Amino acid sequence: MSLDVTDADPGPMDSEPAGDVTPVASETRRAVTGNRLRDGRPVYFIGNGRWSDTIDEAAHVAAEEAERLLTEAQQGKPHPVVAPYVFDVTVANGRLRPVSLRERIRAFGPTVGLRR
Amino acid sequence: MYRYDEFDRRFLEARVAQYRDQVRRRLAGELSEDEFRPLRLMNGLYLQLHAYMLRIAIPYGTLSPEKLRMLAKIARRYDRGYGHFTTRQNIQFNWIKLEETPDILAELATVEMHGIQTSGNCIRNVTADPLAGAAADEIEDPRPYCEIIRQWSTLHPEFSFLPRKFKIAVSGAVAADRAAVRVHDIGLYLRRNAAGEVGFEVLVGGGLGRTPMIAKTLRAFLPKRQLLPYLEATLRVYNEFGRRDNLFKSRIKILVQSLGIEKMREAVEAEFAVMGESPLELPPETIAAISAHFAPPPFAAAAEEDEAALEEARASDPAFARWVARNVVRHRVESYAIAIVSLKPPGRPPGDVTAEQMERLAELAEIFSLGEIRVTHEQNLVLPHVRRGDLPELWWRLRAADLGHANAGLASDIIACPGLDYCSLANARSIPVAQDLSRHLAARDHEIGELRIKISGCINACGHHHVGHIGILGVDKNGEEFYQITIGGSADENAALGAIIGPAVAADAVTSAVDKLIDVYLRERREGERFPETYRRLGAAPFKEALYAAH
Repeated sequence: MSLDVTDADPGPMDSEPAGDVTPVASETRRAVTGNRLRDGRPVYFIGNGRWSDTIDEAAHVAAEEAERLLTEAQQGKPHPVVAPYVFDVTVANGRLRPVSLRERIRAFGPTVGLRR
Repeated sequence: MYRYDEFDRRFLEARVAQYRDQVRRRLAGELSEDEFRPLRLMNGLYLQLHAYMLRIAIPYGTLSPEKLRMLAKIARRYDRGYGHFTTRQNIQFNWIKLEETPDILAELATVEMHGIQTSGNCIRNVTADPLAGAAADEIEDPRPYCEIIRQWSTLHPEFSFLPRKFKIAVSGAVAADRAAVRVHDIGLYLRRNAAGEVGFEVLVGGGLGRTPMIAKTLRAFLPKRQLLPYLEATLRVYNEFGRRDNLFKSRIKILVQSLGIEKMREAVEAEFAVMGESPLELPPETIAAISAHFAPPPFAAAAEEDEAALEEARASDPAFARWVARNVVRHRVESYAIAIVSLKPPGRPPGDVTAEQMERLAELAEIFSLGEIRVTHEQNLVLPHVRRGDLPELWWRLRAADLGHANAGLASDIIACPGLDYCSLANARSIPVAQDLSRHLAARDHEIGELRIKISGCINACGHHHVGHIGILGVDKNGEEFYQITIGGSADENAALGAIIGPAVAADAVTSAVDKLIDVYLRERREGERFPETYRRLGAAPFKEALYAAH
């Protein structure tokens, strides 16, 4: 099924969760992401060999635990995700927000739409 | 245009079957990503931020309605309803699923299309003047030679693992360069020598990216017959001596720079001499056979009422008159015209086209352009063979499809790469900058006149910012997007690299910065002077002052 482009490109200002601009706790946590092999979509490691395309479901750990989380995420064959890596997030009100613009764009979509 | 023969079709079918099996093995885990990556790249499939991106070759930018309809189908069935035309006359789809790519390639093969050699360290799509075969200022149509080079370079056993990618552009115009020839690894101009024979000026070592360079002349006049052996000799020198130890120094421009053009020429001529009589030489009958695929279409005789109808439409509709003034170019046949279809409606992502627009254009090409469409390296399209009397009707229909903007070559006709919104290589976004600028500048377009603004989201320069009259390069400064501005670049026959004008500016300051540069230009320009000429006459000082002096 092909999507109408207006559905597909809502832009980040429409799709980013509201209310997390200033997290209560500004500690940076670490999570693991990659691109799903079969369709290239960004996915997030949630533990137990499972991945989600919703960033809020991502497992997140303190910096010193990041390597362990990544190693856990890399287990399994055939692996459903291409080249998992660690990235920074902040957490507020139970929601995760990537620190870098690049990861925000991956999580929430392009900031441009064809029909804007 | 060139039509595949049975050999070509069987080759493409075999390639699709081979790729289908490679994808099956990758999805089953039988191939690792390291093993699979070069295989998918050889078919133009990248993995970007959100999805796979498929780059489809459009040889020398020439499309038929059938091919364009297939691209619309791909956009609709396998993507999100649109495609993006690139600065190499190709098309990209941003939302592709790996598991569907074998089917996509199978569908493309039915219309003689593919993604072969749109990536990888090989010879890429050969690009050409988009007005080839139609322009009034041409020595000869360059496309037969592009097709010859395409056939020679496809799966070339010696040149499939070059030190780096290799890009060739060809122009057939007498003087103008509409193909950015001088910023290609090899550039070819069709030239006429003192004896009146037509051959090639061969240039080498142009390129953009991290170390931009303008190409130098390798051979001032090369007989047509020797085109492929000479290219072969040049590629052999590159393949042997090009650096493979450092990704950032691996293009042929670096080799030319380090050897110097004299030594480079000596090396190529020596290799060429050793090759002796080559089976690659092009006898006239081979050139004629390929050229037959590009024979002029059956132009209709002029109708008496054509000019009168056109003039009446111009007189009665200022918007149409503006479109004719900007977007219509003289054709070599007096009763015809070339129409530039702008894919830059102010505020929209440059070069993006919906499936519906593609289908509309396919229909318009059939009705108004003798079945041809071209892609330009400036991310617009061209209907190359339009009867002058049909221009009013064509424009109405283009406008209805949001394709009738009269801004070809103006400030709002911006080139931009996909940038950080899509591309995994990018440092900053380029499309929102382009959108904001084009919205802001559209009202000043006709006051400003020709102005080429080009935006890249990283130093790889896919937006050609180095050769923009105003170039904008996105950079990452401590996690924030900043934009470095260059001025004075040019991609035409007076090719020049833009000069950095000062410190990078914040994202929300780009539009006002460009405004100030334009204000200086408008204040200082002489009659008929374009932006690069004003800059060359005055130097950077007044522009720097406008942008950076404390007020």
